[in-house]
Amino acid sequence: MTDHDFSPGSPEDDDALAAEHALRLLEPDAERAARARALSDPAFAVRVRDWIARLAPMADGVYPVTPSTAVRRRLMTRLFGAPERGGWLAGLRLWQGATALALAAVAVLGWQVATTGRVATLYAAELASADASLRILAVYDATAGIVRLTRTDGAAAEGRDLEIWGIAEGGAPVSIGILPDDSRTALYPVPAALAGVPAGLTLAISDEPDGGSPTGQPTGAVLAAGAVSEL
Amino acid sequence: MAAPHDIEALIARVALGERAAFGALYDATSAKLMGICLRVLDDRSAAEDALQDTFVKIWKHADRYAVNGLSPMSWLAAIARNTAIDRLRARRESAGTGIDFDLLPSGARSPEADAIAASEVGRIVACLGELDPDRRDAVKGAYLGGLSYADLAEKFGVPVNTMRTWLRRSLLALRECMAR
Repeated sequence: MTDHDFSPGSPEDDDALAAEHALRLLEPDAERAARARALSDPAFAVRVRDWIARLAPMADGVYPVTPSTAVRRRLMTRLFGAPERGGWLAGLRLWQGATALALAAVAVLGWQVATTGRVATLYAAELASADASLRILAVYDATAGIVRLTRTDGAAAEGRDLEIWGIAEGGAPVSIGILPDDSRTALYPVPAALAGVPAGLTLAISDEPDGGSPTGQPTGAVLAAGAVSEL
Repeated sequence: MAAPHDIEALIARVALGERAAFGALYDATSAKLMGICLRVLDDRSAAEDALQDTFVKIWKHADRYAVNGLSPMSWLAAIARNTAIDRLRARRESAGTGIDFDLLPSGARSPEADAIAASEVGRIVACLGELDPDRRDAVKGAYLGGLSYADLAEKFGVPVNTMRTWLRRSLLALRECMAR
């Protein structure tokens, strides 16, 4: 190994200082001086940048550690504002799109009568986001214990899923299921916790990680909600 | 882990203020950056706070990425590492000053930078292997553990000036090795 000359002001001294600064080796006074120099001396700043680049692959062996979901939520709240207070649905407009519901109901009724010869007790809701970019029709067949969801507009963001929740009046959200990416329509059994609760039931959609909420409660933004009404 | 050009595309969209891209960038990189913060801070709660600060900086400074000349993960990892070290040192002394990415020059493409970016990931590991074990541990202690000269001198039981000489020689040896 050649003997290095670190005499002050030599190129090797400069480069060593740049490396020390990139590594954060320096004590506070020396660090402040190096930082000030990098602001006024572009050649020095480039040396620091090159050392950051050279050393960066040392982090490749660091094991990834998934942070808690609370970190993401707190981060988004800190940057973009807190969700409104007052529970899961505060501030959301509950849509009642009568025409669309009527059409959906006719389609479902027709299917019901055709397959079973029996007319079911049906409730429906239209869920839409504030800007109407996401719209979902929900038809709740209380007799068969099935919820049929039709996504008419919009979709989940990449790497995220849309999860559907049923909320009885004053209750906590109960997960009904996750909307499939590859189909606009899906059927779900009504969870036991929601059975026999059609009156005053609200359906809501939240933005969740791929695979749905890991906690059993909504972790992402509630995008839309709608109260069911009897058809 | 998403491909580098995907990360780069997300950073570009974050620079334009796109929240969905920011969420996607978080989902793609937060575990790696959390790992880095945890190595430095060795405390889950402190590391999560540092991670949050890191992503706030990423949101605010994404527009500066393009002029840095660093690869996307290098840039993100450097912010995470520096944020964690600031927090580590703030515990002990008056607030540390992190590397401010204002200071990196614009138009930063250079032959050296391109060569560094193109070099294999394994280069630094191989070159570290050429150092004496103590020297190697000191470099890793500085990089992964956020240890300063004073910390390393204490850890290895040598005077600060000795540690400084060890590291200066080791870092320049690393540079020469990686340039071969």
